[in-house]
Amino acid sequence: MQRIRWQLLVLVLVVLLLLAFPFYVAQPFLQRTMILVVMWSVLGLAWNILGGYAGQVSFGHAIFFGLGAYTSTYLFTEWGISPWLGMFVGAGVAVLVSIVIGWPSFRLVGHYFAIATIAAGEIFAVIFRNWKAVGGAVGIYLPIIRGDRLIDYQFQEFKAGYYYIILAMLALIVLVTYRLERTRMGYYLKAIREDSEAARSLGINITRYKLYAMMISAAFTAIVGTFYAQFVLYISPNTVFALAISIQMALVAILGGTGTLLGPIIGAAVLIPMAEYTRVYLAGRAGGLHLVVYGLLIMLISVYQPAGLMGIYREWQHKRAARGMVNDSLPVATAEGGADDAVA
Amino acid sequence: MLRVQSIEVRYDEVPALHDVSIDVREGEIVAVIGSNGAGKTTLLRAISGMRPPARGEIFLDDTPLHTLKTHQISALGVAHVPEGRGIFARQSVLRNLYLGAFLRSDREREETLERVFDLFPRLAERRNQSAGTLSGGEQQMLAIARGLMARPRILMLDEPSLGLMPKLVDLIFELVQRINQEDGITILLVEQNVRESLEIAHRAYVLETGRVVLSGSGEDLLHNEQVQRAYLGM
Repeated sequence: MQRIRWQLLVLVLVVLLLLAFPFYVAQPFLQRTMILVVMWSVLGLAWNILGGYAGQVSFGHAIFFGLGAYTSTYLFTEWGISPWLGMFVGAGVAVLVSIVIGWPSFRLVGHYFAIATIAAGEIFAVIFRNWKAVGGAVGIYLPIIRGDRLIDYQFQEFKAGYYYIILAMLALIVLVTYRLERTRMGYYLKAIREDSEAARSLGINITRYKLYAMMISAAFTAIVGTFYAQFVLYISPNTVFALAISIQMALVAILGGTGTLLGPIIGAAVLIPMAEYTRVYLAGRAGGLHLVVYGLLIMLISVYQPAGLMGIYREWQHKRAARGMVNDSLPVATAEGGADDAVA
Repeated sequence: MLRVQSIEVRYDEVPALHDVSIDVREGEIVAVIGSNGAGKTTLLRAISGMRPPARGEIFLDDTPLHTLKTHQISALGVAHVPEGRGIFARQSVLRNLYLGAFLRSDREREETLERVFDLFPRLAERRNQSAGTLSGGEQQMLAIARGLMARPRILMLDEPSLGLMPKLVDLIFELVQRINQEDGITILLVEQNVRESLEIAHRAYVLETGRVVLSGSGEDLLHNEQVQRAYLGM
């Protein structure tokens, strides 16, 4: 009981700190970095639903990101439809496309699925580069709207407006992931990841559940795509349909720990500031240096800790729990296991 | 109840089963025996839809199975306990069992769970342990129990005695017999353990290099000279 109360206290504290962030950190660079950290947390968590829980590693998520950005931007610049509405249309488009891509490629397993998603991502980049109606390779500039009204989805003076929007998205996807971990669907996805043959023999329609995971993942990615367009006010195939976006989404989740709720958030909190700082300090001289660091990180993780930073945390927790059992026989591990099984 | 009619199954054009026909009647234990590579596992995989036959037909009562997908076949009441058990090692025993009840309501699931724990008290004791920490025998029990959780009409077991010590082998066969008698579940058993299988089977088929070479009642085959020479070392 005390443990739960303590956890709740930490949670409330973290939420308050996050909410108050723009008030105690005023420096624009830090605010921007923070927005990016939260944005990549959402993207990592979205990727994690398919790549972590269902175990289907995708390197094509830029497709959904780009579709979200392009749909809302096109609807706004051409027809004056609010990006808030466009955001949901974009999510719908991304979900439809995810079905079209997922249906045939879920027949492929392991590496071949990953390769198929890379190919699909490149196809979309090429299409949008040559599609004149949506600006071709040049892309689309969004008109600046002053006044900082929430309804416009733009904030020129009060940048923290963006922060609160993306923070709300983070809260939503954390909630969805938290629920997913405790519902039947979450367990089916884990079963599919562990042994898809056995899952199939139990009557689980594995293609259907992988598709569900991909649809949820695509919808969230597209919503963040709209956010990105409104935040940067310029989109082009080379920025929103870039393979680098797909890779970074995967990397954030893998570094933090796939198939966990906190993993992608931790991954983003480590990776994004690192990327931003190297970009700023080495600007112009060694622009690609953060990619070198990424490469090194991938190698280190895959060799030493495939479970990511969350894996390191869990090992530490287990060691502590083991010591606790000896000292005052606090059944920490049992309480955890029991809670896991109580909700089916 | 289950009719397999002259099926042929191929792996990359190489046939693994030629013209195999078997028949399983309601309430029976039917054993399919044979050595390694005879096609026993392939037969079960063909029935459960994981390796659909290139030729021939499979019926459950009057429903054709050979055109259905694995998850549809399992929804019709055919449970397949694969060789090597296929348990989810990183999830708890209880979670594994719940996954077996994928197609059942919560109430049915809890009822079946009670019965399963009655048959396998060891699993009840270890319900919160992760399945990967169970012994080989316990894992086999879990695999069978998980098959039962779907409340199948027919339970197909692929080498349940594989790699177990003799005492546990006896226990597994005894449990299979109890499931058949007490729960009225039809059983299709694939085994290399010829003697024990024939002792509990009502009827049996002998499979050799993808063909049925002998069939008859368990009793008859146990005393068949050919079987005794080839499989029982007499």
